[in-house]
Order: sequence, then structure tokens, then C-alpha cells
Amino acid sequence: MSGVPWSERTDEWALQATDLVKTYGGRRVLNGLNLHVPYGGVHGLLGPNGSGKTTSMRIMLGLVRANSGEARILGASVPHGLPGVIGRIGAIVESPKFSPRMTGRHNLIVLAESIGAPRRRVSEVLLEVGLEADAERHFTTYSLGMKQRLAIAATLLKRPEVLIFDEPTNGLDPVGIHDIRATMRSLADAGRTVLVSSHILTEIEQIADSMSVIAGGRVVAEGSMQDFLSDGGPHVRVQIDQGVAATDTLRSAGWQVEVDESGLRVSCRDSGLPDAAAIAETLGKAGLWPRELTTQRRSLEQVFLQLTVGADLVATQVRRRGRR
Amino acid sequence: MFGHLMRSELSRLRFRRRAWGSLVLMMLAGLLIPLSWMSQVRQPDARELVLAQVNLMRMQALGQCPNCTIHDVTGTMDLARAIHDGIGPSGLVVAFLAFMIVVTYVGADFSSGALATQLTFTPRRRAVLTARVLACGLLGSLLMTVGLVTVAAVTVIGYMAVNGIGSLGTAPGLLGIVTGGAVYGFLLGIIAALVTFIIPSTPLAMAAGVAVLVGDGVVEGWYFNSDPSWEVHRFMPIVNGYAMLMGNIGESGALASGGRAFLSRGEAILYHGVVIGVLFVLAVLLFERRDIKI
Repeated sequence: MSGVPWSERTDEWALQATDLVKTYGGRRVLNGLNLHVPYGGVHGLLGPNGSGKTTSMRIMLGLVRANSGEARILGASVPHGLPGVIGRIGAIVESPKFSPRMTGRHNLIVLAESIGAPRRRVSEVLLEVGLEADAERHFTTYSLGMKQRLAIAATLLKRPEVLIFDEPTNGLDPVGIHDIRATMRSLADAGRTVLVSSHILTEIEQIADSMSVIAGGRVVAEGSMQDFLSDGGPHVRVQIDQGVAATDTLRSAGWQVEVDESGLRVSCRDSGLPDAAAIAETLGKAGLWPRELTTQRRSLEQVFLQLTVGADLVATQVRRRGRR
Repeated sequence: MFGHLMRSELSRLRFRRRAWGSLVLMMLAGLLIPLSWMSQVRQPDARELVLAQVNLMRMQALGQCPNCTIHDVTGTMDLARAIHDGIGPSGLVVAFLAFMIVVTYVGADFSSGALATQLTFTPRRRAVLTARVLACGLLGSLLMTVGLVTVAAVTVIGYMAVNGIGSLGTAPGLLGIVTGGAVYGFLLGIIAALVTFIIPSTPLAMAAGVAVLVGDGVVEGWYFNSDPSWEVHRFMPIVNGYAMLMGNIGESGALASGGRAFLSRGEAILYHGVVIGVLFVLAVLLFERRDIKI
């Protein structure tokens, strides 16, 4: 792993925000937000309610104008360059919004025609999201899950390279949540870039490849999921009387060992979860017998709370730690 | 690009239940509006005729109402008068309804958030606004035409029912009123849509429409008492709407047939064109900068 900051790992980002500031009626919603979303995969935008997730996404889509700062999507400056790339961007911001008294199909036809997409594309995307049978029903009669699927169908009309989903699983039942997550994952696996915002940690942990943590209108940390989870990540805590000997033995066996007041902190060089049984075996062969071995894995919740709850929310950059 | 948007807006117009429902509503209004004059659409009976002739002679002896006919005195209407005093002015009521309907048509997309979804497909806001506004012009024109045709049909059928089919004769100015109404509806639909883009709230945009109507009445009333010259009236929306419907109008509001026209239909079109131009610039400036939060 390299120690290069996330924002400096490449010059080309699918979405990038620099020093975005947005105020609503004197209330600063974005406070110099810097965001870097790489091409491909799922990037989570994680933050508590009111942290600025939706506003950031709205600015990216040209729906809301920033007071200052710069936003770029697929290399185009927002909002002026947006028309040139909008055909490669699909988005659902907050709840799906369509004309309530029009059928699902008619809503899609209107959107398809506005971009010059053929009508047969509407049938294709309805089939793709499993809404073909309900396409002639009015939008207002749809369940929330169906509305979300219609919104996804709408985004697919354009064959987008970048998809932006703002809290897409809000209010859905467990099956709906699973379906949406699977859809987002499959879109990313097909080579698309998916930016998804959520305040649900497990959701981001399950589907995201990288993420940005947003709090107080600014990104307080960003990086790959591995960066987040391995930053003080999975390790085995070893309590043993012969600390010095155990440290030498484990290091010679290839483990990474840190010593603190409560014992040894043993981790793998590749940031994976160390095997406690293998550690015990290594120590046992050297005649060293630990009093206690505890596997510890840092959860995203711990990371999130550490980053967002505290006296100050000074932006920190998650750096990859070279553990060799 | 704009062609795609325009096609999409026309499809939206076709698919929206509200648009079809509003045409039915306008038809119902067209059935009800003529009730206010239908009782007068008949020939005067013998007794009314005698009384009217006496009254007419007395008035003319006193130099009053030199151009009055027997119908002016009896209060009854022949078809020409029903067209001029009934169908024509009723166009203003139909126009007011059309304005309100277009406001709700545009406002619904603001409140449902459908406009935000549209902007994630076509972020060129000026183009979206222009296409939507033109579609609303078409809606306004359809509404006016349906309303006026229904009013005219009810009036003509009612006239024939009372006076017999043979009494129908010609219907002077009726085609002009319906055609003028269709054009007026187009312009008014555009104005209603622009007002809703400027004030993106259906109740507030409707209130603005009512305020203009009330303001027009107050100003006209005040000027009519203090300065009955037509210069001020030329700039009032109702008078211009009336000119759109009736063609050339004179001081008394009557058709200026051959004589000096105080306001022509051409001038009224120009007036509405200027209003649309001003509102369009304002709407574009505001809509381009507005945050779409719904």
C-alpha cells in the first residue's frame, strides 16, 4: 500500500469537487467541500443527516448552484459543461420524482424523447428493472420499491457511465433494499461509476469500494474501504508475560507487531485479518504461551463515529499505511 | 436538442391526465356560462314589443340612445347580439379559467419534483423553459377553443330551440371570436406558464393572476372616472384580452365596424408579445439561477 493521499492518486476523477461552499438563507450547508470519486466501482458518500450529502449531489447535477468552488463531472465543469456530458450521467436524488398521474411507461417515454432515445429503449429498461408488467399503472399507485425501480430504469435510458444515487434505500422493505444494493453493485461491476449517499453504515460497508465521509458540510475523510478499515484495522491482541520474546518470535515469523500497555497488537502485512490459531501455534513452538488472544476488527461504525463525532471536524486524509 | 424537448413536451401534454381533465372542465364551463344570457336569447313577445317601441320613441325624443334598437330596450337578444354581448365577453371568463388551469399544469411539475428529474436529463434550463412554455401555449389555445366552441354551440342550439331552425341566419363575428380566442389562449397559456416559472408556487401564481385582474379593474375604474380617454385603457390586460376576442374595439367596447378603432387585434397581439418578452427574460434570469430543491 502506498502512502499517497487519496486526492493525489490520480489526476482524473469521475466526480470532483473543490472547495464547494453553499449557503441557504445564511446557513452554510457546504463548507469548503472537497470530493474525489474515482472511475469505476461504488463510491459511498457517508454522513449524518444534514451533513451536506444531498446538496453536494444536487450541485454535481446542476440542480443547485454553489456559492463558490468548483465541481467537475466526467471532466466537465458544472453547470456550464454539464449539457455535454449529461447523456453519460444517471441520477436519482432523494425520492424518485415523476409526474404522479402519468403511467410509469409514459413518464419514461417523456424523458426518453427529451434526449432523443428511441421508444423501444423504454421497454428495454422496464424489462431490465422488472417493471414491464406494471408499466401501464400510474406512478402514484406504485410502491416505494417500484418507484425506485422506475427511477433506476430512467437512469438507464441514457446508458450512463456515472450513476448518482441519493439515499436510494430510504423507506424500502428488506427485499427492496437488497434489490437496490444488488443493482448498484452489478452496475459497478459492469464498469460504471456509482456514487451512492447514505447515512447507513452497513449499506456503504457492504457495497462500496471507496468512500468519503462527510460531516458539517465538508469531507472529513476519503479513501478506499480498505484504507478505512485497515487504518488501525483488523488485528489480534495478544496478552503474554514474555512480551519481548514473543515480539521477536512473531516478527521473525512475518507478523507485524506493535507493543502497547495492554500487550501485543499483531497484524498482517497485507491488512487482512490475522489468523489467531497460527499466532498461537507460532508462539507455542517457541515455548511461549499467551494468556489471552483476541481477534479485533475495526468496524466502519468506529471509523465513522471517530470521524464525525467529536469536538472538531477538521478534515483528515486517510492515508494508506505501508505495513510491510 | 430543442426538437427532442418539444416532442417530449407534446407527449407530456398528451399523457397528462390533468390536461385532458382540464379540457373536460372547460367544456363543462362552456355549458354553464351561456345560462347567464340564454333566457334573453329570444324574440320579444307582442306586449314587450309594444312597450319597447313606446320606450324607444320616448328615449329618442329626449335625444337618448340614438343608435338603440328594439332589442336594447327589451333586453332580448337576437343571435348577432348574443354573439357580441354574450359569447364575446364570456371569452374573458374562459380565458381566466384557462390561465388558472395552465398555472396548475406547470405548478404540478414543480411540486411533484418531475421538473428536477427532467433537468437531470436536459440541464439546459432555458431550453426546458422555452419548450414547456410553448407547450403551455398550445394547452391554453386548446382550452380557449374548447371553451368558446362549447359556449357558441350552446348559444346557437339554444337560439334555434327557442326561435326555430329557420331563425338562425348568419352568425356575424362568431368565427372571428373563436379564432381570436384560440390565439389569445396561446398567448395567455405562455404568460401563465412564465408567471409560474417566475413564481414557482401554484397558489402564489394563481394569486398573481387574480391580483392582475383586480388591479386592472381598480385602475380602469379610477381612470374611467378621472380620465375616460383610451390611452390608459390600451395598456390594461382585460381590454387587450377583449380586443383579442372581438377584434377592433371602440370606446363603448363595441365592434368598431368601419369607424375609428381604439384598439385593434393587431395592437393587442403586440401588447401580449411585449408582455411575454418581458416575462420571458425575467423567467429565464430567475430559473437559470434558481436552486431546484424538490
